[in-house]
Amino acid sequence: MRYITDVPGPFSSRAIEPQSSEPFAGAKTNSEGRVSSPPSLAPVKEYIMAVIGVAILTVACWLLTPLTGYGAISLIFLLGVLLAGMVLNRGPVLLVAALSALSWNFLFIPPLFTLHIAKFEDALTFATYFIIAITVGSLTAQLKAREHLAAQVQLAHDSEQLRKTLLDCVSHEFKTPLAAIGAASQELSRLAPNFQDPQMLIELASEIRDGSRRLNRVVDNLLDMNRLESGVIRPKREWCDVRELLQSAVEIERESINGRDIRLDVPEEIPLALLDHTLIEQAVAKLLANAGSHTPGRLPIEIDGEYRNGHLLISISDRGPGIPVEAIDRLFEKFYRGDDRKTGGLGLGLSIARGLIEAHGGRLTVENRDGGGARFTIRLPVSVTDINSMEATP
Amino acid sequence: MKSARSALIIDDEKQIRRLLRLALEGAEHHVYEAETGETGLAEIVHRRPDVVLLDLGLPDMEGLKVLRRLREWSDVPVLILSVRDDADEKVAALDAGADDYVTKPFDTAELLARVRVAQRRSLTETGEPVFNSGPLCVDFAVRQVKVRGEEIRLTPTEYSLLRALVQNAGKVVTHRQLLRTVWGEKAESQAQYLRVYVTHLRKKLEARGNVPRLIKTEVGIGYRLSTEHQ
Repeated sequence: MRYITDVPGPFSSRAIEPQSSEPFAGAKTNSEGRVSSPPSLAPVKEYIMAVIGVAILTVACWLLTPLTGYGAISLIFLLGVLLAGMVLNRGPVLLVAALSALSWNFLFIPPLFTLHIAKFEDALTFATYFIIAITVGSLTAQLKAREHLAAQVQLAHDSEQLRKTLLDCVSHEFKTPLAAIGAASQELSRLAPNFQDPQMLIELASEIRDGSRRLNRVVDNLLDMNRLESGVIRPKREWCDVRELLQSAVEIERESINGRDIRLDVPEEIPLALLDHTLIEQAVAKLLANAGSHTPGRLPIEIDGEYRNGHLLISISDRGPGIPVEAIDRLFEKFYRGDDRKTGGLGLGLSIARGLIEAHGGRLTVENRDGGGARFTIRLPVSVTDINSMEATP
Repeated sequence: MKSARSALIIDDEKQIRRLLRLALEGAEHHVYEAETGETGLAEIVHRRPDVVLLDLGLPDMEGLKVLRRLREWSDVPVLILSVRDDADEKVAALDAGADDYVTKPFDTAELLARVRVAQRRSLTETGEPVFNSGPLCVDFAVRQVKVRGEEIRLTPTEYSLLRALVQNAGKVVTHRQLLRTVWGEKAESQAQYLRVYVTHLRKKLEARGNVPRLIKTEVGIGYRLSTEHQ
C-alpha cells in the first residue's frame, strides 16, 4: 500500500488541506458535546420558511376542501410535515407540525374559525394527527442528522486513509536510502580492519553517497512543496543568460539524465532575461528529471529556449511513452505518479515545477508530440535586454 | 613559523565539526573547534588560526555578527558554511568580509579547494605580473590575455572585469564588488551591465556551446574565476 494512487476517491490537493484533514472538522459540537445537525440554512431563515410553507399549504388545502372534505386535509398536512422533515432542521419541522395542526383545527374542523372541536371523532383525529406530525417531524430530522454524521465520518476516514498512505510513501522514500546508508557504512567498518578490496570500499562509499543524495532530494522536494503552498516564494529577478540557465539545469540533473543525449537549442542572439534564475533553473531541472526517469534507454531529450512577444518559451521534449490521456489532467497534482510505478519518488516533481513557474507569473503545460513522447512548455512573461545594444567588440 | 596550518571550525553541530575535522586533518591542518560564536571569537584570539570555517546559524549569535566583530580586528580568511536558498545571507556575509562560502551539504573536495584558495590570500598578496591558470594566461604588465596560447582582444571594460576576477581567482566575487571595481560606486545597481559583459567575456574566453568552465556563475551572488581544471 505504498502508492498514493491506490487511495479510493479523490485525493486532489483539496483532500489534505488542513480544514478537512481535521477529523469532524465540518461537524460542530454544541455545549453538551453532541454533534448538531448540519447548518444547511441559517436558523431564523428556516423558521420563516416553515411559516411560509404552512401558509402556502393552508391556502392549497382551502382550495381543495370542497373536493375532498376536511378529513383528507389532515393527510395533506402530514405530507407537508414529512417533506419539511427532509429539508429543515428539527425545530422548524416541529413548528410546521404545530402550525399545521392549529391551522387544520382553526380553518377546517367545524366549527370553523375557532380552536373548539365539536365532534369527538374530530378531536380524536386531531390529537392523533398532532402526535403523528410531531413524531414524523422529529424522526426525519434525526435521520437527516445521522446521515450528515455518517458523511462526516466517511470524510474523516478518507482523509485519515490518505494521511496514512502519504505517511507510508514518505517513510518509504526516507527509509530506503537510510537503509542503504546504514548497511553500507556497517559493511565499511566491518571491512576496514582487513582492508583488501579497494573496489569494494569505493562501491560501498558510492552507495552511501547515492543514498544521501536521494534523501537530500526528498527533503528538498518536501520543503519546496511546503514553501510553494505557504506562498512565501517571491521571485528575485536578475538578468540571466537563458542558455547558461538551461545548461546549469542540465548539470544539476546529470545523474538522472544518465548519459542521455541532450540537445540544447537556444538562438545565439537571445536577449538577457530578467528572471529568478534559481526558480526557473529548478523548474527546468524537475522537468529534466521527469523526462530522465520516464524515458527508456538512451532516448534523447531536447531543450529549446526562445524569446517571442514578451515571453520566454522553454520546452523540454522527450521521446518516451508520452502521457496517457487519462493522466494528462492529473499530471501536475502533487503525489500523483504515472502508471509505471517503477520510478519511485514522491510524485512531487511536476507539481513543484508548475508551482515554481506559476510563482513566477508563468505557465507550464504539457502535450504529446507527433511521433511519440511528451513536451513540457514553460511560458514566462519577461523583460529583456538586448546584449548587442551595448558595446560588444573593440 | 608554524609547521602545520591551523583551522578553526565554529559550528554548533557536532557531526559537522567531526566531518570537517576529518577532512581538514586529512589535508594536514591542525584543527580547533568552537560550538558558539563567543567561544569562537575567543579561540581566534587564543589560537590564531590560518583559516576560520564559520556556520551562519549559531545558537548564541548570528554568524554574521561573529564575522563583523571578528573583522574589527582580524583579517583571518573566513569561509562561511551555510544552507541552501539564502543567497542574500551569503551576499551579506561576503560584503561583511567573508572570503568565500560553501553550501551544506558540501562536497569535501570542494570545501578543501575553497579553504586552500581562501588561505592563499594571506600567504601571498600576489605581486605576480603574470597570471596563469589552466587555459588562461593574463599578463598584467602588457595587458595581454591569452587562451590556449592564442591572444584574445578585449575591450577596456572586458579587460578590467577579467582583471577583477583574476585578482580573486578561485574566490567568489559579488555583483556589487565587481560593479564597484569595474564601473565605480555609482554603478552598483546596474546589474545588467555586468551580466552583458560577462556574456561578452565568456564568448571570447570559453569554448562554445558548453557550460562555462572558466567564469562560473554563483546564482544571486556573483561570479567566480575557476582555478580548477580537469
